[in-house]
Amino acid sequence: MIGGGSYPQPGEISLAHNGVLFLDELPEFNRNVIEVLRQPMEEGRVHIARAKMNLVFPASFILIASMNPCPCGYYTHPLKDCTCSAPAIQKYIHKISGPLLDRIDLHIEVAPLSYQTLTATQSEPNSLDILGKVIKARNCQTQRLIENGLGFTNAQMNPSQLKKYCGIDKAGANLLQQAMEKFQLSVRSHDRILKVSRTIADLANCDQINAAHISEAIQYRCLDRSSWGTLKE
Amino acid sequence: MLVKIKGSALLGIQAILITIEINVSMGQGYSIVGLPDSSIKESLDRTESALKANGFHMPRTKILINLSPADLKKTGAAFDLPIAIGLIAASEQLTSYIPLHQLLIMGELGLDGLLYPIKGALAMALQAKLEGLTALILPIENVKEASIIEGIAIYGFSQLKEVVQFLKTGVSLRNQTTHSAFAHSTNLSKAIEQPLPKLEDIKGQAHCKRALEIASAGGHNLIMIGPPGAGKTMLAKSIVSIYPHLILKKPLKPHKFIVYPIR
Repeated sequence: MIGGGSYPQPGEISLAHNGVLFLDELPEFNRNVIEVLRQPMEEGRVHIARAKMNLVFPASFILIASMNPCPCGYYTHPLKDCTCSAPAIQKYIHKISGPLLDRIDLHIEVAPLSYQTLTATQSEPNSLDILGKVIKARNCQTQRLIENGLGFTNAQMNPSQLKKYCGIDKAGANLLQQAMEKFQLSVRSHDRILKVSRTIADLANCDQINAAHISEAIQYRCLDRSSWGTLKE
Repeated sequence: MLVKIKGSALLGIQAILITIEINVSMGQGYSIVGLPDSSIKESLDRTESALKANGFHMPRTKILINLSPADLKKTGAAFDLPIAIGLIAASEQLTSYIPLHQLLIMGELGLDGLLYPIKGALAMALQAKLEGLTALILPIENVKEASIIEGIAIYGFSQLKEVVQFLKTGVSLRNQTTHSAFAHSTNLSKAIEQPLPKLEDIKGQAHCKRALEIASAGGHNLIMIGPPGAGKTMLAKSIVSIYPHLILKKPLKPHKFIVYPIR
């Protein structure tokens, strides 16, 4: 995954440099395979140390992962019954370590579609329109971050840039404080929420981050606050 | 006669300038020194055949080839072409119009003298430019990749004979290519057009689409949790349709990997 061999070759994460790395069914990967992603995810590059040489490969990627909520897959299903025991669900979710989850900005639950939605004829958002919005938001980030040289996206902001560019209004700050205390979020989670809110604000073309942006960002941290598996009767 | 040519070895994704010294003198025996791996040692056999096929002769005296810096291990067949050119020049079958030590020459040779593409041409072009060399001679297939680097002349050839002809006269049978990076931005992003689902192909799941939009806009990581068949994989693949294609606005600090949006 990270690359290597006696004559080191770039791995999947370097091949996904500046792109997307998609790991389907994340818990099915060996733990040591996914845990080595931690350092490259923070730094945007990977160091490979061998007896003869010490190499750095670029590896700045977006990780998109998917997983089932439990071994049988139906724990969060609105209608179907889950057949797993509570410890089994806990064990499954714990295959993804806290530190790794902490580095993932957006957690979302995907619910199965109802028959009505599936057959509805309403038009779906066009990907070209969204692409336009995305490019606009990216341009605005590039302009902001280009002077510092390193990264060009909000996710790559360093702490000083975070401080400089992520001004929140008062209502937003209050909301963030409450969320931090209630869900016992880590400092990294706090920074990530800020970065995501910055992106949401960019998409909305706002200079300042407000409470609505913060609240949307907080709702994407569902795994931080969930008591996964303990709710089972 | 002693001839020096520049070549390039790859260490990770970085190219390191290698000086290939070829000495043809009185005596007997062929040897390559400077930590070559077995594919470089075999190079002399390929070169001998390629030289004959293109109307040159292999010197029957002592041939000593040194790859300097001599303490770095070199791998790969891409040293065939510089060795062949060096042999031709050192055995006085070629008087080069262009000073050989100002050129970076890399390429793999077939037994009939055809040039095969090599790995890492972009890194080599960058390194050659940093070292102040005047031009790069590569297999024709690598020209597009290498010409992302501006400010160095890149010449592509498909035959050993053509390379020698060029060195003799300074005139390329093919056109010299020094494309700017702009010319290539469109070609680069074409490589990714695969039949993947688009966002509008997916029914419902509005909040997931919104999350994908945010991930794509800000470069954020994303995890999706849900029962089997809910559409997680399809959603993930559809991010390609809303992910900005890479455009080389200027020759950025180049990396070898620039075009894969999803793996």
